[in-house]
Amino acid sequence: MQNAHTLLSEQELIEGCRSGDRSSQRALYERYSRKMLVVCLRYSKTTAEAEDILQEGFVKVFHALKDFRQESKLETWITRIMVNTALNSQRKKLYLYPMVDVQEIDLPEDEVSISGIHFSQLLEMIQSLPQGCQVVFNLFAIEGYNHKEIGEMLGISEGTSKSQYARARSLLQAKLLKESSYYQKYGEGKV
Amino acid sequence: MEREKFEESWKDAFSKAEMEPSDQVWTNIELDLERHRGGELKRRIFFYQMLAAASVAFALAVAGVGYYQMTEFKRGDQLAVRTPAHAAEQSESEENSLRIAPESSTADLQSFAQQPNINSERTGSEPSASSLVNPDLAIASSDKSSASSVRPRTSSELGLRASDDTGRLTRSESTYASEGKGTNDAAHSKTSIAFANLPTELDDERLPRLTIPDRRPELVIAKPKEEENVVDPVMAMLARLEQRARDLGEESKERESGSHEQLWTSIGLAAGSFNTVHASTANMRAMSASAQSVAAPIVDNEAKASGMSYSMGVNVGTRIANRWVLQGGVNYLTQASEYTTDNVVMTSTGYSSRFMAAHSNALVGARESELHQKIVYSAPYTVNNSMRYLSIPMQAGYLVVDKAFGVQVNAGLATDLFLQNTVKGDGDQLARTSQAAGEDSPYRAVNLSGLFGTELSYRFSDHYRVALNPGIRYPFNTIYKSELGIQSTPLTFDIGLRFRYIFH
Repeated sequence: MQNAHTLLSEQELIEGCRSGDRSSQRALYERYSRKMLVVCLRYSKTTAEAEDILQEGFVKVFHALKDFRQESKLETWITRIMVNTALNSQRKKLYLYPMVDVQEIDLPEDEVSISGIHFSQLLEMIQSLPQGCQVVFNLFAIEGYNHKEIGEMLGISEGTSKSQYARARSLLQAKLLKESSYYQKYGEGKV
Repeated sequence: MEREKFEESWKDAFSKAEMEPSDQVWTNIELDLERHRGGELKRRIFFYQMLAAASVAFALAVAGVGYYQMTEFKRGDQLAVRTPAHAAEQSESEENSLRIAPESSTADLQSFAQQPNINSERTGSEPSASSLVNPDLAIASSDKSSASSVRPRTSSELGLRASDDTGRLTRSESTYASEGKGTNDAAHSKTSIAFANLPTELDDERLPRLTIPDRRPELVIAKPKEEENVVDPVMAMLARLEQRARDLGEESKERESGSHEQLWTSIGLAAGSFNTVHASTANMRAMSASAQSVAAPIVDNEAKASGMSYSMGVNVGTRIANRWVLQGGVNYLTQASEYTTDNVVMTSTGYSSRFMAAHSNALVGARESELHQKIVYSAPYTVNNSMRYLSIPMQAGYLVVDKAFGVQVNAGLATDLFLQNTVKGDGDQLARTSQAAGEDSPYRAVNLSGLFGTELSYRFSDHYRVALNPGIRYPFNTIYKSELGIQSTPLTFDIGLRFRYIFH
């Protein structure tokens, strides 16, 4: 049954979900849940937290699907819902630990490449960032929002967003450097 | 540039990244969706409840209007057609009578044409042709002491004043009395019924005093004096024929409107919800305080649970009076409720243990020591409890509207025979259990419920009528056995759909 559903077109899946067909909803979930879990993991600290966001996000997707006008790709639309759900769940934490401008940080002269590093390690690095830095880094570097938009989304100034990003990047580069020296020393066996 | 490259590399690293979520995520999503669907269903049920309440209110309003109109009709009847003897007596009392020679209108004459017939039927004598031809009409006061007198100058003025002063009399209701001394000329009448004895002129001396009572005057048709009667057999026959034709027309109209339904049967189904408006476990008897502290929370959830009610059945009805009907039948009734608990009941047989959803079935008759062994704490879960009854309703109904479209208000009793209840916990780990009526059942085997509802129906053929029945059901006693001391009286609100076959 699930195999049959994997053959369904995106449009058929949308129509099935809109009519409340549970197997279509399951098929849509099967199709996108793995990618979306990674999105949720980028915004959270633990897998359990990410799965909570994923669950809430998919419930929103199924309810909001009737309003989806197909102006963008379904995957993009679902990702946006997941990011918004994640931001909502982070907002309380961000409110408790408000983001402030950080001092200018001197970036390392040499950019460290991330090629060859498995995404799970990159994910761990992102999760290890401070709350504010993690959110801003995700929004700017991966989601592609600019600092003005991030400021509006999070209720912070553009400058704060920039400084948080700079700090995130600095911290990540430091981690990457550490990793690369580790590789140089021990090879890629760890990965 | 370098920065963009850095960010792009991160974006690329995650573009194809995937991780398998745990199975629990989809289960929770499914539960959320079900809960939402349940919420929608509840909202829909609420809408239907409101619809049912509105239709009950509408039916009551219609009944109220109908009752008001009936009482008004009875008051209209008090403008009684007096017997000739009364009229004669009344005519002797010159102070309270009015005799006017009207410019008769067609409507007036037609309305009066039937009155002598009615008089003669009431007195048991054959109507005389003269009574049809020469009605003698008078306004009589029913309260002489409170009457005031007016002496008008002309007949038309009289008519107007009578109308104005009584405040209710219309021109057609105004009573005209023929003097009886004028010329008798049936040809003056424009109708088929002659109106004779019209006075040619009026003067103050001949005119009696008009008495305007404080209360509404009674309409009196006085039988004319024998010597003044002009018998016209042809006209009398015509009047009788006209009356008969009118009666036949009314009979056929009644037959068409469906008011002759005498015996019918119907099949129907109903759906609705119930809420336990009065539930308490505070007086649980036959249990020690310790045992009660263990059992009461479980029973409390169960006794207060609300849920859905479904029924289907067969009914028979008969008309017992013009507007009264009696209906009875047999219905299979299911009341399904849900509640959350964090206990399970464990029963051990030999080396194996069986777990059941926490429910009063397992607690009845259990000793305190057993209770502590039986009840095991668990994670919160939902229990589905389904109660089944055989209900035998008997209702009296009043037909507010008895036409092709019918409105009926019903009230009565139902004898509910408890058949069985089934308890099932969410998930597969808990065993499904059933409990029939009997000593080991916590439920009453027989209970009485009050029924009240309305029936909005439509007759769509000679033998078939479809009806919508919003109604409420309320048990007179708790559904639990009285010795347990558990109060639970669920108020059910449902809407039924019935198809009625009319035998005759």
